[in-house]
Amino acid sequence: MKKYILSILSVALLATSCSLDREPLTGPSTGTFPASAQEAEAGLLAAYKSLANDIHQYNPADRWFDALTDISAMRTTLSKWPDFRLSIVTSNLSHVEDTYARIYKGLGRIHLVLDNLDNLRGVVTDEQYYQFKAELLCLRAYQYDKACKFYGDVPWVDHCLTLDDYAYARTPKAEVIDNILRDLDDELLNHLPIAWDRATWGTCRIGRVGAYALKARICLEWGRFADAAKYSKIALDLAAGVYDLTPLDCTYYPTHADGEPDPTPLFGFDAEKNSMEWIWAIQFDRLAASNVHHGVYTFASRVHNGAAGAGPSQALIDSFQTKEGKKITDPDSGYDWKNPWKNRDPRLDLYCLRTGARSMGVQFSIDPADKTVFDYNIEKAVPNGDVTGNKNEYGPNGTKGPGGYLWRKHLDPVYYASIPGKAYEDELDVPIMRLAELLLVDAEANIEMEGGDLARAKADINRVRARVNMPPVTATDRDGLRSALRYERKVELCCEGFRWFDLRRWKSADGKIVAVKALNGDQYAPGFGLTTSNAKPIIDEDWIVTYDPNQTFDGAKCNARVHTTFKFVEGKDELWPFPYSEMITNPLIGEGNNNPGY
Amino acid sequence: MEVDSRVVDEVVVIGYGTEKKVNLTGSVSSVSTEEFNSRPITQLSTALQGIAPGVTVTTAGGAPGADTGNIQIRGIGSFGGSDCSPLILIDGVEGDMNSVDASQIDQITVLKDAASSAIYGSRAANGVVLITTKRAGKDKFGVTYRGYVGWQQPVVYPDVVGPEDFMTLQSIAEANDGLTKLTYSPEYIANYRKNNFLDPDAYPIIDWQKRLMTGNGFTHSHIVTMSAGTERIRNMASFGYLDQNGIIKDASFRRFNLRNNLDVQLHKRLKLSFDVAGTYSNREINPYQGGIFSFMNAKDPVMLAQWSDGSYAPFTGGTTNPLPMIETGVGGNRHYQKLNLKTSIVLEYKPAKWLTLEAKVAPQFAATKNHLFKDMVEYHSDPYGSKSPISNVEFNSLEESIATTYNGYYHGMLTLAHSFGKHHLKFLAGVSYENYEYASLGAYRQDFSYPQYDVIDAGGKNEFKDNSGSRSQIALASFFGRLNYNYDNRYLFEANLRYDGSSRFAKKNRWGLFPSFSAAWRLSEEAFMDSVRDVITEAKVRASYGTLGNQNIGSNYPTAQMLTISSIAAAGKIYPIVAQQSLANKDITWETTYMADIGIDMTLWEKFTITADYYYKKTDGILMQLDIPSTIGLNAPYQNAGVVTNNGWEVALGYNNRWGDWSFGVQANLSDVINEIVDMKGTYGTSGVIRNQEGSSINSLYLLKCLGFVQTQEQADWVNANCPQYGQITKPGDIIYEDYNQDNKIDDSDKQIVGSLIPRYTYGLTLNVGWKGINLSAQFQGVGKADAYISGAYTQPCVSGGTFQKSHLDNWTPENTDAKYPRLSYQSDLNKKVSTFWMANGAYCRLKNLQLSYTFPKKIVKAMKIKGLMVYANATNLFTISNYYEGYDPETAYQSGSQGATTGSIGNNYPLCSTYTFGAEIKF
Repeated sequence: MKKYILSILSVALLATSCSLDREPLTGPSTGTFPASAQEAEAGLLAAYKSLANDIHQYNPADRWFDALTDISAMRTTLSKWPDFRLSIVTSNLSHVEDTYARIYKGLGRIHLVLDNLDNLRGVVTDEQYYQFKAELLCLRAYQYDKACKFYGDVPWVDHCLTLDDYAYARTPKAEVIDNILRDLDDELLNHLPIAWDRATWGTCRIGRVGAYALKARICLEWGRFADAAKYSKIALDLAAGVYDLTPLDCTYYPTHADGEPDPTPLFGFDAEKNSMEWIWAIQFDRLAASNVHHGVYTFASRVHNGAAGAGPSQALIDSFQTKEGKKITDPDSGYDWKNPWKNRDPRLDLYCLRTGARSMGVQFSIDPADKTVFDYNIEKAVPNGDVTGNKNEYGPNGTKGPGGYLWRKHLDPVYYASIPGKAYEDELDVPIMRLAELLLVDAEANIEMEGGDLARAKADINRVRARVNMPPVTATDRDGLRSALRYERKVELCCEGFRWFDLRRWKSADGKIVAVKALNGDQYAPGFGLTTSNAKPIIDEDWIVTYDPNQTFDGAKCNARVHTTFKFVEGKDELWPFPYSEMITNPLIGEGNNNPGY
Repeated sequence: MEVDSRVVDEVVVIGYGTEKKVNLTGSVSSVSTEEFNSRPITQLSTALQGIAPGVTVTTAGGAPGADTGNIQIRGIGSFGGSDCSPLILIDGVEGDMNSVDASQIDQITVLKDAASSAIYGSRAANGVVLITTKRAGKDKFGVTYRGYVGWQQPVVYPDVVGPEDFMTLQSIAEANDGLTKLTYSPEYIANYRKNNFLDPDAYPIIDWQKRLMTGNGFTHSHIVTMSAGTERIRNMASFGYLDQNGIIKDASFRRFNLRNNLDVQLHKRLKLSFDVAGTYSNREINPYQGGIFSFMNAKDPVMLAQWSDGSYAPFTGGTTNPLPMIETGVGGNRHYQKLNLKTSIVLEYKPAKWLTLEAKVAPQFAATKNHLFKDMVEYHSDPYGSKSPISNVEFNSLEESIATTYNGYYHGMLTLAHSFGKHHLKFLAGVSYENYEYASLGAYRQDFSYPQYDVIDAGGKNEFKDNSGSRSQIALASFFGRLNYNYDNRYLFEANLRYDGSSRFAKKNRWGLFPSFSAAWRLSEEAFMDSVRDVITEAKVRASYGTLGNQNIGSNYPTAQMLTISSIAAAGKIYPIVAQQSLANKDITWETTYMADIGIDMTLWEKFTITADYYYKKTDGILMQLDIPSTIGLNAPYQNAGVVTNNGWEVALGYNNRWGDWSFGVQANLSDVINEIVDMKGTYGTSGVIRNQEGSSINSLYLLKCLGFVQTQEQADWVNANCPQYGQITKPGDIIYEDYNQDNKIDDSDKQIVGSLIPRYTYGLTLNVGWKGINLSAQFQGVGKADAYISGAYTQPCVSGGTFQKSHLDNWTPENTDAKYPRLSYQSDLNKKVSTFWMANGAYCRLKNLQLSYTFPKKIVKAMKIKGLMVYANATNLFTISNYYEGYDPETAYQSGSQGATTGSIGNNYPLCSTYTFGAEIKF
């Protein structure tokens, strides 16, 4: 009997002695993280990966921001993006909410590593420790700079938050900028390699050149011109021999039959691997987990089964100088409005797509007479989906489409051939920083700072122009160079997400920010059924293009149409509204604490 | 727990033991095997429907293998993050009710109140269902065969229009829209059938229901049970097989069932029970099932689906044409296989008459396998294949996954029972431990060059191949005890206590205490009742109060700050990344339910039984994902925040009598529960037409209120001027909506809560009449009040790409202003806004089951050299009274999701079926 009792008791004891501690088995949990260099690297790379999560409406966010400015025309209804152009954005708009949330998600990933980085003291070399720290702080600076640009004052958070420690008030943006610039301490940045090994890391990680370029960019944005010039010089000096502008073939192809302009050495898959101009880029790759966007779908034409989501505006097209570097409105420019593509800055055809050109192997036309277009991939005519079929209202010049032109910059023909079966997944990397932009930051800093090196600024601009065979700028004075710089940024960096901020940073001669003029009033597009327009642009010294419906090249009635009437309210539209959910859930902010004017 | 001993004085199975029914102090419904044993039940979960008061069983559809019941006991206690299903225990161990064959069941007990279920503590908040399987008796030997064959057909399906009516109705709508050039002219319509005969490619006609509903619905089941018992060894073995075909092709269910319950008296005081059970099932699901039923219920009859040369036309109306899949068997296949192995070893030691010691070890293993192969289907955009074929998908693909569960269960307990004169005492104390291990493994390939080999290895070895795997664990430890005190069988007291620890929670919240107290007074045993004893045979009043928990809160590791491993690419290489996605809530703990119950049990004239209960149940700390500031940078965790109450009553009546060769029995039950969300921290949740908000019941319908039709142009002008609807022009014949927020316009902000999907007044009625060996039994079941909402082409006219229902012929025109449906229009969607007009009454009364059986007299049976023979004919879902959508089944109105959430009612689910069966039970 005793042994039975014992056996029963032993079951009871077994049950009580069994532990109820269960740790997750499919992945690590926080606590000691990061315990090793591998863990720290994985955490750091997760912070980089968060950049790839900022996808809006299929496309990396940066590419949409330009669509909200004067250089682009977009579909008239597109997930409420056009609201930004009409000054009717509200606090609960998903883009406003999501962008904010993604910035802080990115910061959360940074802090996950940063909070316990000292765990690695003695585990890794000092050099490795400082490199991790420098990269994490660069990423943090990048996120906060973006946050301040969109939202103004934002809560300064510098560690992982919990349910017991979550409420932080909006910190004055000047203080946030001071904090991030202090983080980007020169001594710390100097631990970084000048550039990470390209064969190992591609353009994923920020090196010393990128770190100083970022620092210069932030200084420039917030008016610290002397510092901007100082750091852009450091960056450029370090970049010498490491980074260089990527040559582009500037051949002019009058028609689709003659060939297709090729921006891919600088923007395509070839550039990902080989362009020495890319300093830092957001990585996309189908082989990594949820790591694709659908950029090719959003920007490609209807013929390509794309969405024709946005394209250059007529105003941008008219901004491109002639081959001789003149405004097309100059009487002696030799510009022929009936043959508008000839003798223009080669970047018009390299970055933009207009009727008569070829894109990813297929003729492009918004002329309703072209019922078919020629597909050079299969050597036969195919229906022209841009003007026919049930989707053409959303075509490049449809009633609900953009304004007659599309972007070419981010469409790689090599990629198009491999689309079938991939649901338009696009894995093209998105550059955050390339040498041309750094040169233009350096130029702008020297132009804007008192006593800046104007000759240096001019040389920077001319270096960017020389790549596309554009003649050097002749101006030597500050105002002339400022104008040249504004042209160069507008054209060179189009559709890369800079314009939104440029228009808010730049002041025009009347002391107001350039956006007030650029983002107010009618935006024009070629009339329905037309491929171009006779409207004669008025181009000011900031290269802001406006139109007078009474001014045409041929004196006839203006045949362009108003695509969108922009509205920019001073004192309001400098910033986005503050996200609604943050206001109501954060007791230290509250619903009444929105940005001015909202 | 032996079958025979219970007849004398009914004993019911309760938590960790048994109790005489008359001595119960809690609210318990016990269903004995006789009540459903001879019915053809394919899924045991449906057996409780309409039988036990307070137990609501809803069925989402009739697909073979998925025709299971969703059981809710006394309302819904939670919303959102946690599970609301009751705890199902098979011979004391948690398991899947549907893995047991109904013929193997001895008794099902439903523990409804806190008093009876608190002994299961942290898992009992949604009630407990105890299933006890049959065991062999002493000195008996017998073999029983039970089997049936039958066929199924849908209870109802929509009565859709034919081609002429379709084109006529479309023309009416187009004329209403002011179109001068109609798609179909009257002459075109008149000549359509003739032209169809001459040129079916240009004038197609298709009857989707006839073409798609081609399954034979044949069902058969066989189970053989062998029971053998000696003084020391008793064994009950059974083997069952079920084969169910669907009403569409490629939908079927096969199940094998094995059970062996062995009892060995090792020693005078020591008994060993050794049980083994195994179930294997294979459910074949048509991969296009949703599409098939949506075509049958809602696609127009003049669609070109098949060319005259027999090839199939592509993408009709934006969806995949399912005809070739049904008619030529292409398109792939989908299987869901399940394997269940259970063992249980129990040692019972009785060192003294008053003391029992028991130890139990019960390991279980379950594996499920999902297989989904999607193949390309060729369509032709013109007959005779002059253009190259088009495929529905760009590549074929195979997705397979296997999930395994290991569950170890151990308990040890002691029971003391002793009587001192009129004082009867019982005491139980025990300890149990359970651990669960889950693992999954999945694989994916696409581009199968040889689609006939739908195995992973045959797929393309390209960059798209993918795999996945995961593991997780939970452990539960418990101490439990029960004390019964009974004075003279008159005054009964019971106290239960359970102390539960769950690995899901952080150390400081890990352990929870769940007590309950109950008392009962058997009035009928009092001396002063002697005078009425011939009327009141038995009378008892009961009261109970207790606390229960719910630890099924979704995640197995809600408190762990989980880091997720993922990847990033750089320079064409993949690097691992580690990030935290969600914030953990270290303070998370059980949802707690407080429940009070009062009830009476009475027997009158020895024949008539009454049981009635009233209860109040409050669930506190319901898990909600409350919004947190985005600055935290992580997804919101679950927090214990919500409160829900369920307030209800139940009545069950029974009457059984016998006169000579005649016997008669009736069992009836009715129950109601009012559900209310008391606290959602000021938030609300809306998903489609469903809304959860404070002050309303869970799964409320949130719609515009329809006030009627605009009858005249003057009325329409007034509406357009004073209360414009959605910025559109309202015309005569349009629906007029209530301006709920009184802002003089109608828009989405005028929606209000107008009903609830939760069934109320659920009832059941079972009648039995017998004469000699003939027995007729009928079981009615129904719901007294429920609302439902199905929209789209399933119920609405003029939906792009949809058909019309025959009832749409009664639509509003100036000549027919007393119409059932509003003005037809394609251009205006004003009449299709979510409103009460399209809401339906989900109440119904249904003859669930009708059975006529004949038990052969002993004389004949003896002559046949067998021990018994019974044959029967049975029909289920024979008729239904309801005011539901024509052509749809009100029983499926409530679509309960896995987490207790619902998706509203849908129009394209696999309909419930009527089953006609003939069966026999032969005893050897």
